[in-house]
Amino acid sequence: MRKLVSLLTVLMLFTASAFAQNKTVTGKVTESNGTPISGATISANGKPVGATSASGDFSVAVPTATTSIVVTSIGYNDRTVTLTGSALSITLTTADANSVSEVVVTGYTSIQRKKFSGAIANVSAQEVKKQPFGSFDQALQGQAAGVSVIANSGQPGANAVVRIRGNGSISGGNVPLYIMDGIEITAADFSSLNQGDFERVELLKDAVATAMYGSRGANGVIVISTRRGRAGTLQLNYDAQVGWSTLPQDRLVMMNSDQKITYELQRGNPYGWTTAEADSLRKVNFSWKDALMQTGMTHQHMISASGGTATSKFFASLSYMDQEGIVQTTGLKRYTARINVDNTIKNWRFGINLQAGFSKLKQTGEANTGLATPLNAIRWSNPYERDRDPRTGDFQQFGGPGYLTSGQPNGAMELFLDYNNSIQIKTVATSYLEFHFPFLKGLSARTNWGIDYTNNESTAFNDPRTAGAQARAGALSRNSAWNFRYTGTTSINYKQNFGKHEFDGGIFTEVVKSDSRNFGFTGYGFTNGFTNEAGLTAGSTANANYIPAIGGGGSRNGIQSYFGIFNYGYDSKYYLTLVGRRDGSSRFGVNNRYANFGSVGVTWSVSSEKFMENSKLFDNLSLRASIGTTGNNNTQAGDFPIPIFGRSTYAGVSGWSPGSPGNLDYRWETNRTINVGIDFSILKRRLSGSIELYDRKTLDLFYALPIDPSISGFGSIPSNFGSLRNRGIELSLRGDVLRAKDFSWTIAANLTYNQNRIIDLPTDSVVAGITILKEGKALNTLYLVPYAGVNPANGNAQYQKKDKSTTMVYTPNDKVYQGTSDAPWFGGITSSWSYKGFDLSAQLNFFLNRVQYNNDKNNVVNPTYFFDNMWVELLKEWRNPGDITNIPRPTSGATALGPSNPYQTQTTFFLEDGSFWRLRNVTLGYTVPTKLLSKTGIRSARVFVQGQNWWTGTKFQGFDPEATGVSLVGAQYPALVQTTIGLNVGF
Amino acid sequence: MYNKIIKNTIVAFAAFTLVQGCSKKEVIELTPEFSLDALSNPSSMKQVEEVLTGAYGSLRAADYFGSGSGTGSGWALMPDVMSDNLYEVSAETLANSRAMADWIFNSSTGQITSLYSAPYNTIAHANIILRDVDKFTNANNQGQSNRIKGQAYALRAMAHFDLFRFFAVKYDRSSTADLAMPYIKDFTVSTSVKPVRNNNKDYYDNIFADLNQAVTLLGNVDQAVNPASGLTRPFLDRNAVYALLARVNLYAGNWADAATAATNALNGRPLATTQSAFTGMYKQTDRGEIIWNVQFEAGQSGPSFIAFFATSNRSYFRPAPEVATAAGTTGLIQSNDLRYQAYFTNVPAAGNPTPNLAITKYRGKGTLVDGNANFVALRSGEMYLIRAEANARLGGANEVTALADLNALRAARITGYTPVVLTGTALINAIADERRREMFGEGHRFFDLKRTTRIIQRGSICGTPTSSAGNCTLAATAREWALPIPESVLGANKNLVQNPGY
Repeated sequence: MRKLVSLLTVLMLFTASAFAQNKTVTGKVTESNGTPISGATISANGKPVGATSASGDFSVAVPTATTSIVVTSIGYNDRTVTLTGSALSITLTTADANSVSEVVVTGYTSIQRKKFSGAIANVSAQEVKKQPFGSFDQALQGQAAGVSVIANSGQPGANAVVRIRGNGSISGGNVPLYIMDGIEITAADFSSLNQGDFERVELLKDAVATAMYGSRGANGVIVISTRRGRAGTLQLNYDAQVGWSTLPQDRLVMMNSDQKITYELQRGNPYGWTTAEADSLRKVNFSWKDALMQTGMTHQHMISASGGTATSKFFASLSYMDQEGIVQTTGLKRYTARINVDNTIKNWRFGINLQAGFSKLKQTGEANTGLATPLNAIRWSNPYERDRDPRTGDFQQFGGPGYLTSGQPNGAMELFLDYNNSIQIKTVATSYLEFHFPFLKGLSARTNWGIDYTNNESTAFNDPRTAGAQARAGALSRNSAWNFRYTGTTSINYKQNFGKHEFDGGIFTEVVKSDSRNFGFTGYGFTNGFTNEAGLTAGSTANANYIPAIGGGGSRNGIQSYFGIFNYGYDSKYYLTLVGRRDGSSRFGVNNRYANFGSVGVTWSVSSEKFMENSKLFDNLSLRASIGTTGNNNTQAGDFPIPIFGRSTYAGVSGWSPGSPGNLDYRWETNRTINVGIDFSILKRRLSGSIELYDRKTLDLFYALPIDPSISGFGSIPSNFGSLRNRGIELSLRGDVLRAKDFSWTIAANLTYNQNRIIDLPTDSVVAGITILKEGKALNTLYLVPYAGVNPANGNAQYQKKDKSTTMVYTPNDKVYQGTSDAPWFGGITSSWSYKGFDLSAQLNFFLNRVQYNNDKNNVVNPTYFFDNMWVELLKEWRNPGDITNIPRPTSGATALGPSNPYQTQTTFFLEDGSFWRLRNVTLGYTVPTKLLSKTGIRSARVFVQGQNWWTGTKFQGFDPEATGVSLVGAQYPALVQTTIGLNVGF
Repeated sequence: MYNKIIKNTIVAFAAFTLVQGCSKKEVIELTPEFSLDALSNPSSMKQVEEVLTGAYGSLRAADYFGSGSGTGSGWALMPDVMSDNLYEVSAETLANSRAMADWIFNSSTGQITSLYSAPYNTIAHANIILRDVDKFTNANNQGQSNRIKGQAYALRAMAHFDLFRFFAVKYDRSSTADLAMPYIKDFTVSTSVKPVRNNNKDYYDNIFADLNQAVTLLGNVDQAVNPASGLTRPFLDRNAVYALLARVNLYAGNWADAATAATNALNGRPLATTQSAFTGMYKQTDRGEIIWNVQFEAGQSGPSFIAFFATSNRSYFRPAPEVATAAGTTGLIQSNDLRYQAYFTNVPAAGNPTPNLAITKYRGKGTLVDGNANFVALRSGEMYLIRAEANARLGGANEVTALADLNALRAARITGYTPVVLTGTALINAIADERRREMFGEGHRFFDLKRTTRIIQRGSICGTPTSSAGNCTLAATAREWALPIPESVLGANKNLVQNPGY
């Protein structure tokens, strides 16, 4: 007999055909804290028979012989309940990443986890939603094994650097692909998305999991599904948070006024202070940090509504977020709206998701070494100078207009008079149409189309009063850029069971096209007091200084794919997935635009075997294995790998200059991933987990093959050469430590070890500044000369030679390998406690065994810069023969005591342990019991307090060790230390 | 019946797939809209000329005649930074060119790589022009063709010569043992072409061949290379090519040829004799005695940010007191010299009112102080000095001509100048001193010392806390007289031989 087994609950609800009715089962489905779950599917004998209402109640008819029903709802673990004859009270627990009964979504299709051979991690939308980050990716940190998420900036709205299973490309892109409701959205561009709209976030890690995105999935895929409507009466929810953020502890200690004056006198009194002046300045101790930074307030509000009938459902939301940064004037304001609608009419299904977001970011320069950057000014400005002259109240400018005495621009002027804003409008719209053929059960056709449109307008204003801006009376740059991408996927799918055989497959065609344009201007002459276009003076030949600069550009690229996915299952024990695809990308040389990719995966549900039936230990055990290839088209060569001329001008005439050498044979960078995984749950499901072993090898690496610039003016040609490997192990565990009536304690942990190794390079040992590309070493390996202290006799810095002897003569030939800035060990541990309505959770994340070059420190150690403030340790610098210290003499010339002593930066003096432990999140919440609410008309209510980054443990000398890249350049905007109070109410 | 429906469905799906397949043109076969395809272009004489414009534009690169904050300025101010003309100011420098200024560079120093690449980029432009120009030449546009080709040859020769000035160990004209650089005459994009360094003799032969071609071609053109009047001379005309010939012959020690070429270059380009005409060359208010200038339009930066950050009045490097002082009463250039006013201004350091000279030659056009100024690369003053030096070295009767040129130049520069009478070494030394005065901040000092005394002894300020220099002397035997071939280039081209000592 044919059985209709569908796993997509939403779809299933409405395909059930009528059958013999014999008895009625009633009950209520709730969360463990009593919140009703609406829209949960009730199935009997493998067929859906109904769903819960808004109050969580259900009443379904089942055949008399039925002994149990299964309750499923996305986001919760499935539950099988034995019928008792009376009304049932069913509690569902929140799904965790390792639940084998869970459904996984790899795009717009979904499959039961048990049957899926791919490596996948599911991040609870609740976790992502509750953390008030302007860019949702920051909330993914520590949530899943194999996924490294690092905030490079605490600037509100700044995105995180996300890497799935390491860096696979040397010169190409390493950013994962982001998919929202089946279409690609621009990566690292999330400040206008509201994570409160997310229902699921899935991280796809291996070739089988990313099969649908094979042409772009080499760096992993992050799949976001937004919230869908649920049948039943209208439900309204209001979520709000209010809180504040503060500056983290600064571990790079600068001199105070007294120390700086002492140091200046020691260095020859460059400003010629008299004794009286020096004594008076010693007492100033002005805090530039306090003058430019603040406690930032955050508040956010969201209203959402969900409802509908069995055939037409909707979800809608509005949100507002206002987050102030810890640097004054900075912050993010975000407004979003969304509506998702799903309809079913006979054999047709269609739906549409619309989201519009508007965000306004007020920023300040970061990650640079510019004198005018306020975040550098807080370190560099002398503590005996002030932001404002107390006598006049105006900005202090003793060094000329805009400048402090030291020649350092007054950071307060740069921060308060200038502005640096960007406005983003982002629209993501998707729609689908699905037809279920009436003549053959299980056969359907579907087409899914969507657009991602982003418009960014960025504005930077330099006030005419600020340092360096007087010459042209200020400057205003405004740039507008839009990016439009459409993604269309059309497929024919067939899904059917024949006895013990399960088939599920489809053939697909997909097209992705991206277009972008930008233009902008920089205008001058702000003489009338206005700081926008109204203040601009358009230059002319008579006033060439104010001639504005204009510019613009654009690009486009596309992908076209054909692929088939075939899943086969036998006896609910053995599953096979086969994927084959052919992809074309406009980004490659005409000779190599198309490439084939494929993968195969198998799953063995060991615990379903007869011999495991009586196993006391295992409640579940399954083994998975997969191998496959995926492609990367994020080239370093840009969109067009053909030889091109770029625009150029000279003496007012337009011309052409060689722009790119091109390479007509440029081809796909390919990842070959092997994955082996075990999923288990033991001790009556009290301990469950997964172990994954993977081997991800990148072939045909995008590599700019260096050439002698003499023959063409180009220093390199975009090429494919070499290979790189990421190998690792991922462990995810979840255990119920205690499970009592009112009290429970759960610990979830994930740990990743990723070993990154370069296997093959066209030229071995390519040194690039402080790093080296070397076969057998990891990417981003630092390569520095070991610093060996100070020669007590003459104060010269000493270095260790390759033969371990000490020398005063620096040579780059003494550089040695120093470890990598990409943490090979990372993970997160979350402990959750709940007692009656109270819940408490704490998440501790860690990134271990990484080093980083501290250029922020170099900026305040270089003795040349002593006209500005310096690192406090410089007070210990060598002064007299016999001094034992680690800080060499500040002078560089040869002396009677020793040879010259030029300041060297590429040494281990600036290499620091970048490992850190971080209390990422602590949440204490209370859910008001339904009983108390029943008379108020409120369906559910919860209040909570949470904190981000309350504690950080590190040896790194700076504001924040959480940074990617080999070097902390300077002007760091550290990750925020946040505390918020939140409220969720449902009506 | 079901079979039929299935068939129809599959056909329909296939058709739909095909429709998407047809959009291959729309999605995959994309071409750039904001740049010019170099596979099929340049495709007209007009486009060839546009590549010539690009070639001139490439001279503005931060490491050729352009500059960045404390960096770049390779053939503009870098040779002054690397010599005794300028000193690095402790209280103001950001130490961005410390490796160059202190001669502690090595083959992995980033600035060295940039200095290697920048002229070759100009050469690449010239080679594209020379590859394609003949394709579009016909009887009607021979003059235009000559004008384009002549400039391309001149640019190719000049860029090669500039490389030679930094990277060659010795300047000997006829040496077949000393290595110059690869002389490149074809534009090639390839990973397999790995040129070798020509020896000095071959290299000079090629430079002279190109320059002589340029002289011939630019003698028969459709229109003047530079406009007849104006405030600038942004393109290399025949006078400029003669000026280049004079300069190359001076380095090569071809004294008679150098003098002849200088005379030809000076034809119609008399010395500027007034303050406004002289200063005007740098301020774009007067053509003065410009033979050729590198043009920097508004917003295109300028040549001197390596030493003087005009918009902030910050001096990373200042003139050595041996050259000039704020008082204007000591040093080579004093206040009675019109060069004093054109080159220097009292711009003290922030917060320090003590008068202090900054090099403000390139402070801005007209009265502007934005650092956007043209770089005067060839002018009559240099030609006088080349002719003077060449004649002085020829000796004998030529010394009279040499002395006349020296006195003429000084008379044009110095108020109330009394002509002097010098001969022999004294004359040569006086010309060298005058050369240091005249060409201050114009990219000659390091090369002049390299080709003459081969020793740098920085002045009195070196070694004091005012200057951050770590080294005050560069000995004749030092390897640093020749820059190393960059490590990255050696890695890509095993045929290149590194300079001795690196």
